[in-house]
Amino acid sequence: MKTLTSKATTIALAGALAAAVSVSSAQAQDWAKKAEKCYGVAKAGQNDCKAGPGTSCQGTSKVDFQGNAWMFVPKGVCEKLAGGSLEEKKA
Amino acid sequence: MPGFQPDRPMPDKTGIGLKVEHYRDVLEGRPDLGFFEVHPENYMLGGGPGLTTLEAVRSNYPLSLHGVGASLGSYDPVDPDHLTRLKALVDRFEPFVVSEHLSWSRYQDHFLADLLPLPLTTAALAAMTANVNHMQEALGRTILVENPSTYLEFSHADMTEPEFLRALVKATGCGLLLDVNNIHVCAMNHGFDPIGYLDAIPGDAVGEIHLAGHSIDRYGERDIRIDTHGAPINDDVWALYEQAIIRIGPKPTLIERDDNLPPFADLLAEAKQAEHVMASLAQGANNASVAG
Amino acid sequence: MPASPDKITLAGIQSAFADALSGRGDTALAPHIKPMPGVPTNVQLDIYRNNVHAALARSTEGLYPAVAKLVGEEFFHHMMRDYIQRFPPQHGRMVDYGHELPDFLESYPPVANLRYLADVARLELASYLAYRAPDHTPLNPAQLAGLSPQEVAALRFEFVPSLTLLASPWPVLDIYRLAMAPEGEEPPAPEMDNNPARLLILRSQDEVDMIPLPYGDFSFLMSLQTGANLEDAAAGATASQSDFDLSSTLAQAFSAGVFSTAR
Repeated sequence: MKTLTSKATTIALAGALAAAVSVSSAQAQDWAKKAEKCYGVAKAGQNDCKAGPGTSCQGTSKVDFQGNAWMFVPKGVCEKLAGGSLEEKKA
Repeated sequence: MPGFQPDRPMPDKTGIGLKVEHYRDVLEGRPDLGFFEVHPENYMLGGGPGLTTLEAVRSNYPLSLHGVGASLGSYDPVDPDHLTRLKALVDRFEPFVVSEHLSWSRYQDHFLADLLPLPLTTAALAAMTANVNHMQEALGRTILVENPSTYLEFSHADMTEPEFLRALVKATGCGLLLDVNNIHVCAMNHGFDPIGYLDAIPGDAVGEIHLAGHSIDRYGERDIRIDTHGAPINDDVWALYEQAIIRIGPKPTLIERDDNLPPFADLLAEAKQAEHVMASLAQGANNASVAG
Repeated sequence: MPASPDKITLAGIQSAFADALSGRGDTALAPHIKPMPGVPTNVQLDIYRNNVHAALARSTEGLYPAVAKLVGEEFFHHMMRDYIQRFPPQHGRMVDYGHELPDFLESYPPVANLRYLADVARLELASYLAYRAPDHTPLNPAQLAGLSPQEVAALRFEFVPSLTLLASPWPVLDIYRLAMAPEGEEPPAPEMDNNPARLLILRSQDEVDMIPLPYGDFSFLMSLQTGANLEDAAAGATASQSDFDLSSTLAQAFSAGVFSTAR
């Protein structure tokens, strides 16, 4: 009995594979339609070395090396995401 | 004695540092430029569009590999892993020139992500000489070494930077990458005459010139110039560039911009301005020799 | 009595400089720095401290733009101070720096209430690793024509090197889209509860795609990735999603270039 079932299954598998092989890339676009493109030729990695250029201390990125980082709280797009935060869960 | 002899023919026009944001301008616009330059560290990758884009650029232009991670001024020897990765890129992209800095970034296992100043001592010269020789042997070619921007000097220095560079060139056969902006930044920060610096370096060793913009920070009553590569090249630096070209002749010149990136056309205009400076000074030299 | 400043070795200077840049104090280095009129030594060293921090923080921000948008640039840079202390760079390749940020965020108390943040970082890291993964030629499915049914059932697949399968209890792709949307064009904030993400991340034709998958498709690929053969992976997927369609899923996977080899 088991071998019969198994044989039916393998034939079904082979049929599914044969059908998949015969489908053209242009027809199989369900995944691609939902895809988000994040890197490409026009949008490469930005985590790069620069030629050791300095940063103006009077620029925006000056970090106070004596200050306490823990006094700062995230202030960004996260504020739009109600429900993702523990406090709001508890509330 | 002949000066620095390049391993490969040098382009006679100016170049621009290749930035990701300008890939399309370069590939589709095919700007009229002599070369592009990149940091090899940014292409030490397994594969992907970064490397294939660089290959596409390389198929149309000469390329310069300008290293920022070898730490040639370290007391420690150059990281063999770094040299292996660099050699692979040199073999693949066949740059017309490979360069690095008169600086250090590594102490034992710590990498300090900046081009740090060297004490200009005989001990530092010995370390730098050993590392430049090692790198040149590993790559099978000579390299150029660039003068950095610095924000401090050491009190126990035995020599000036031009003296140090002259001795390094003599000991290793390397060439120089003369960063005109860095000379100006250092001259203003440390109070020396930039023209005197140009007169003191071995001009025949210069294989390439860098031009860039910088920022001025104010501390109390003092200005400190910071090499940000974040602004257009200013008039002081253009004037010093003219003085450099008068002394050493036309050289492949790179426009370096890393921050506050403007449209590609703005950098192209700076490259054309550098070409104009070289052409008009060559013209002037010819007229002078005819008159004389 | 301190050593004479004139006698310090190159290694001594570099060790002292490393201390000054890593928050271990300026006292060993300061006596060897030539006075700069009008500028205290610690201010000169601050320029270098600032440069080192900016090089590492900007590069890492470039790798995780959505995380930076979520917490804000100011917080991100302060957080990077702690990250750099915990994971100081050991080489000069910024392209290989910052890869521990997802695990760091998992246990960084100031973001403990942003429980999705580490998974957003995992999504960004997987996308970047796909971008720079070794080049590959995806499996040509025509190679699989003509196999016997037994051979088909026993097929095992290798995946292309750029591929990551990422599961999260949070809607991380929607969060990513919200964070990366241009100002004024933000999509509505996603439902945060009971909205898990199952994502396929890979590079094909020089672009990196982040693809949300149905549960059955995801579990099918997960089984194949862990070494199951086609028969077992299909059985598992059907058990997890009753309308799982093997033929359609395989066609999508071939089209997306998921597989490198089959044997």
